[in-house]
Amino acid sequence: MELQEKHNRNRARKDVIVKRTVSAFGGTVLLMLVVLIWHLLTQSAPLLQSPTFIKQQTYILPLGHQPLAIKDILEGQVVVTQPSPCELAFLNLEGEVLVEKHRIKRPCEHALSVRQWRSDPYILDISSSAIVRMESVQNLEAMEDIGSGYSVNGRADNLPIRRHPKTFSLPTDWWQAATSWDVSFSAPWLVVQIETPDGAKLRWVNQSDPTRVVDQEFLAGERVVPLPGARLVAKLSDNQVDFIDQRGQVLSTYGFSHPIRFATALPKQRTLLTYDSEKVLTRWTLRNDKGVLSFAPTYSLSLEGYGAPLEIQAHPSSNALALLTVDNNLLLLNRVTGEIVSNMTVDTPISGMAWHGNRIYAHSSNAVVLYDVDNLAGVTTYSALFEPQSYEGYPTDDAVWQTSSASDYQESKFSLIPLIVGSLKAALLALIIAIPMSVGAAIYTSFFARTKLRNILKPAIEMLEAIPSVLIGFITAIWLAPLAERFLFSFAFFLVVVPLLLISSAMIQRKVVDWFPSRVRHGSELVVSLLIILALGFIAMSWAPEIVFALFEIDGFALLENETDSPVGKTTMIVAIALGIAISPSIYSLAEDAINGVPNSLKQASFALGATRLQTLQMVVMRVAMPGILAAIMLGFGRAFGETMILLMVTGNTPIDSWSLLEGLRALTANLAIELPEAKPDTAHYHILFVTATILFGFTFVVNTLAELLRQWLRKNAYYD
Amino acid sequence: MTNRLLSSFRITSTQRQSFVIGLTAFSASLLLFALISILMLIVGRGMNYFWPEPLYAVVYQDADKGRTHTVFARVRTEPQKDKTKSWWVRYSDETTPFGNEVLVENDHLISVTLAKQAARIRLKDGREIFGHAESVYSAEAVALNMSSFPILYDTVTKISNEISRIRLTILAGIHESIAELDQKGVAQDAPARLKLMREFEQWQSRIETLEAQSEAFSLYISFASGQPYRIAIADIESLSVPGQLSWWQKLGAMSDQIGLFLSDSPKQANTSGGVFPALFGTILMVLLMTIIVAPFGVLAAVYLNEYAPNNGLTAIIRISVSNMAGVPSIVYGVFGLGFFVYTLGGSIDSLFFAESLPAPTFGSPGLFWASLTMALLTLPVVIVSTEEGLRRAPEHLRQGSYALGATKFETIWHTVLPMASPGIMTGIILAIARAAGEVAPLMLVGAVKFAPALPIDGEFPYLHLERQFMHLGVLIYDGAFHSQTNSNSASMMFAACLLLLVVVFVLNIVAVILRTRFRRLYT
Repeated sequence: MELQEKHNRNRARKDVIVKRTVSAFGGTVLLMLVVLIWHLLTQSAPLLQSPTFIKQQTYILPLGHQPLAIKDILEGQVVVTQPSPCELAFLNLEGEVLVEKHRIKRPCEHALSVRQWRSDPYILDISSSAIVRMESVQNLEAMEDIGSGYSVNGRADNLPIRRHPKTFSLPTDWWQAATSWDVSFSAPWLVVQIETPDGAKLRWVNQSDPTRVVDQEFLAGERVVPLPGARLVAKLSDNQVDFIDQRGQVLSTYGFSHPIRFATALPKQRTLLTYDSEKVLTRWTLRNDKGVLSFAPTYSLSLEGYGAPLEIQAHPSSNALALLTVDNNLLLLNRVTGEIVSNMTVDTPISGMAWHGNRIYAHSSNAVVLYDVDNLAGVTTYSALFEPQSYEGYPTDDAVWQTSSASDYQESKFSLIPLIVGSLKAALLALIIAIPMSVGAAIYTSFFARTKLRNILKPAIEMLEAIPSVLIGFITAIWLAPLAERFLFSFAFFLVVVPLLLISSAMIQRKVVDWFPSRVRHGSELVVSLLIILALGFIAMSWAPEIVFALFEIDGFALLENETDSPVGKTTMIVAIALGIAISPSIYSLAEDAINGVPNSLKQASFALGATRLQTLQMVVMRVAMPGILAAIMLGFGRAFGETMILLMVTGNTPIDSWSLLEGLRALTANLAIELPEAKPDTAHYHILFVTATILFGFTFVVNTLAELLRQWLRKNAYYD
Repeated sequence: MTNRLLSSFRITSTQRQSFVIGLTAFSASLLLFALISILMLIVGRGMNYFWPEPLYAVVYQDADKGRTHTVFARVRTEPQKDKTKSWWVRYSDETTPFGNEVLVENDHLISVTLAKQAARIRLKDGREIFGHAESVYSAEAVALNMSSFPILYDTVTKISNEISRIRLTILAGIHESIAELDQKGVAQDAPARLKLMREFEQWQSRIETLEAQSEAFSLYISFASGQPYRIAIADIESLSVPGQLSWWQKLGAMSDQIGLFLSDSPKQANTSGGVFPALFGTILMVLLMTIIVAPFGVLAAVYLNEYAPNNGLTAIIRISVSNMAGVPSIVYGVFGLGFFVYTLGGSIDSLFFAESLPAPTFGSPGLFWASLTMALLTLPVVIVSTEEGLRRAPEHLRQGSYALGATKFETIWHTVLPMASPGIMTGIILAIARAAGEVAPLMLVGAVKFAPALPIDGEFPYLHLERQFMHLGVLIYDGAFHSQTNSNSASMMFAACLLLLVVVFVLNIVAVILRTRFRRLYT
């Protein structure tokens, strides 16, 4: 008795343990699904939130040191300061304090300064005889014995600055009259701008060959912004801007009503930003206008309430632009769309800044203040993703997906429109191809064919579903694509001839079938149509293009090639045919189930009322099964939209914003497969790719849910069995 | 008048019905046609890779120089869009003995004749030479006729076996002892070391003699132009004369080739050799995935069907789970990379493999993450199928079991699960079939086109879950990009397609058979 009780207790305990284990496993699985959705959303979310500035640290500079250039201090890089007019000091962070490490001394009659080019500062040393020496600070840092060459009292002739300097000369008379000077960099040209009382003077120096120089002089009162990256100069006067090339020719002129107060070019000089008396910031971009490079205005945005810009810094690898105003506002802009995504009023007045990664080092005359930019990916706005934008180098507003630019300070083009268009056009066309095939086949197998035939047909067609899509992609890419031109004409020929053939065969079918022995009569239409396809396919592939060309007296291949920029084997048509074949079996299978599920009682009632098979099909079966067929089509669409391998292998993966069926495409899915392995986590690119994954997920999830609800509704309301 | 004309053309309802039947039958046969042509293409082109192709003596004219070439070659015709034929000629001659492929237009082709005597010589590194085998030379430089080739080949094989035996058993031991001495800091001129060095040199010179000996065995062939060429027998993997083979011998050659294809690793940039690492990687990944997905999928389904409260929430979960099956597979890959690899893998690295950071161990794509991603991808298939099976167990059986005093677990274990087993098996096998054919997510989470090492080897812990692996589908995907210009690669890729197709189809068919079998058992 006791034993029995113990045994029962054990059983009960086991029951509880199993219940908990099973629930734990079930819970884990559900948790995983939740985590999946949560992860996609959280990785997409940074794009929805605005970036924010977070003040981190203030580093006090030694007394009298004027900051000239700031590299990434936290990474152990230097700050270059000017303790006195003839000296430069290099400071490093030790603990929390900036400590002077080295000092360069130059003769006091020299002009000594530092200018930044592509996040690397260059020391510029201009002698009184107007010889310019230029050396990157990085080169200096790279030298091991940096300390030995110049101590605090280092002799002028023992400078490491001599080791790899770029040297070129300026006209002496300009230099003697100089009131101020500046240098603009690009590859290969750099421009030294000298302001004199008679007006600005420019000397262009070719960096790879410093003896190649071009000089330009301007009148007093003319403001000049050199744009060496575009080999242009912007000449600003009160009511117009002229873009002048190296030879002094005016290439284009724009007039405007308000005088410009401030103008600066972003690195690479493909973008010019101007600020006028009406407090409007205007962006000008370089574009190729029929072979002539010119700048044209794009967006304008009002800085009313923020104050006039003092300095503008572009982020090296994203579209962010930091703008500091005279009223101590620090703004963060998207340089492509011109939206202010974040702003902050700084508490200490700052005079300039440097940008490294997500750190902004702002400096005043006596301190360096570090601001972290949190969530820099948030610079990408809705407008940047979904609206056509005006990009550098593009003549008109355009939706472009182009991320792989290795060089820094390049605009990233993150428009999702070409990808969405690509996915949609392939999926829709595939659906148009798949629907007649699969629904027709479903009607035949489930309504017209006898059970015996159905039992063979259905598994056979469903076998098509088991073929991995990479195989269909491979066959299309290797076998079909080289034949694509012929195939397209044959396909068109096929489409025209088949209905004619079917109609004529329907006319005579009755009479012909009567000759058949009754045993083979059933299902003969399947055999006959297979034979027709074989024969027609052969005719279409071998003669159709020639027949069509002879009939219309055209050369179709040439026409086709003129019509498209992509290779014909990589056009939407070919992809859609492959994709259509790939999704047909899944539509077929579900549609077949829906039609087959229509209760026999309904059909028999219809037949009993004297309806023919066709009438029964039209009036009864299709009406009842329609929601199920619609659900099947929706699921097929979801599958086509989410298919990756076929789209990846067959299309040329060119992100073109065009609905043309004769162009290539790049689908959202293929884009993920191509770019995600290369994308660095926590960059805007990475988060945008997650947004596309979320779009794919959300879209298919919604479509599938709707289809599922439709099927459930059908099951509940129509099949009352 | 018009009316009468029209009415004579009016379509009767019978004709309309025949039209609809014809149309639907046509659609069905179109799908059948697609299936058959895909299968035939893959099977045909795939088997073609194994079949010993005949060699031809081809005479053709150079398109630009106008020179005439006479070569032994394999040929394949390719229709051009303007209906002319052109010929892919893969040949070897004195300037390119290891093969070259040219596209020759029909006009430039002078003659193609079957070369019955031409031999196809496959080298150990995967390259091929076509030529007429003339004579063999033994180590003593005595010319012998071709009949003694097998004997010489055996001799050379013996020599090379001897070399590798010395290398593996004797030299490796000496190396180890020297390394031990180095570790102990024994002086350079210590007698023990000198003795070892002497021994080492002895064996080394023995190997050199053997190598020179085996190198001396050579085969002389002549190309179609008559130019002779010497090949060391030690380099030869196999020699066959397709023109001389009988049908049976061809079948034998074909099965040899299939064996090689399944057991060898890819050579010469996926144009020859086999696909063993890819097949192995695919199977291993699927196996791991099955181990993960089976318990989770089945238990989750049991939970949903048996334990979860029967309310709206469960219904929503059920719909969500079945909808997860329709989510694009690449999305799982994205999740796998973002969550498993970067988040989980990154955490594992910083916890357990901190000493090797920043080089990632688990924080980069690998076998385990790929299996886990695929398990997640196939989870809905298993859950839905298992639930379907569970639902087939009628309520009265359960109640009968309860009435006999069984606990819930006992009821499920002894009554419900056996009835659901066809569903469970089908679900798992369908999951395996889906995982074997799915490629897109794998490209993000660990499958690569070339992995230097298999994920399993003799080094502890034997199964390297963090390693990247090769996969048949990825191999085919990669092959598609350079197969358009290289017919060797294309036909090898078709063979890989055939293999993948066979794997997937066999699994699907097994699923169908198991389902019907178990169904019959339990109803």
